[in-house]
Amino acid sequence: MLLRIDMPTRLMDSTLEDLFEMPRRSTPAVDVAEYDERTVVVAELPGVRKEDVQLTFTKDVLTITGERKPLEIPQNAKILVHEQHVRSFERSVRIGHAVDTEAISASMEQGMLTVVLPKAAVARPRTITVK
Amino acid sequence: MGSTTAITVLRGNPALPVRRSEPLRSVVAPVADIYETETAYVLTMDLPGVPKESVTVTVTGEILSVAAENIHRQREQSALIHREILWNAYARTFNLGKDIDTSSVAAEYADGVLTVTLPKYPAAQPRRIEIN
Repeated sequence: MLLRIDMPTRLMDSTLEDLFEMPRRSTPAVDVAEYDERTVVVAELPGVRKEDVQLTFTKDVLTITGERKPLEIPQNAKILVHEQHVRSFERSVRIGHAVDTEAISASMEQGMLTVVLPKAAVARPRTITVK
Repeated sequence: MGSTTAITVLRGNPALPVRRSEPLRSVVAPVADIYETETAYVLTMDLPGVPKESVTVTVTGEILSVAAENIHRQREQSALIHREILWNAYARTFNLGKDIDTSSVAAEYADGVLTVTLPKYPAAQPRRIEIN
């Protein structure tokens, strides 16, 4: 398999201070699908608006970063249950084939980010006819 | 949760309106936030990848049930080379208590987050008493 998913090493080299700093940066779950002409990365980002997501593609790594804006709660409200702690997130996916970087596209729908990375011509399968 | 809380989170799930078309799929309880104002309780829940039509919010007596089916997974199943997203059904149940007007519960879904507003009966709302 050509693809590698990079898990953040932040926890390994973080100081105690970083560990106790709340909220911590989270790593959204991703699915990766590869087709003949493209690779599609889907990330789970509920509650995140598309303007709060940044995507970068450097060399062969797609990086998804961004922020989840906190819930707007009326001033006098009392919090009874608080389970959702995601504020900022980061995830990188290494793509194992040459990518047509100009043609990368992304969309957000129902809290799911979909990034389409078209393969560069050299990375697409070619059928050779036997004469 | 404080002792005054009308909403309790139930672990078990008595009656789920979830379709059981695939036997080996699991049902996950999505993370929830609940806050209380003078007039209502507001519940928010992460339901990413769920079409609005598949979200069911039901109130039966004092029980609020939220269920949803993630249909996103049908799409890229065969081409998947890396998989982390659990394409499950979501379900969670809350005990509402007696001070909620179950007839006017409202729900909306946006950006993968469900928001349910549970208004309190007027009698359960704090009342300011004028001092003459």
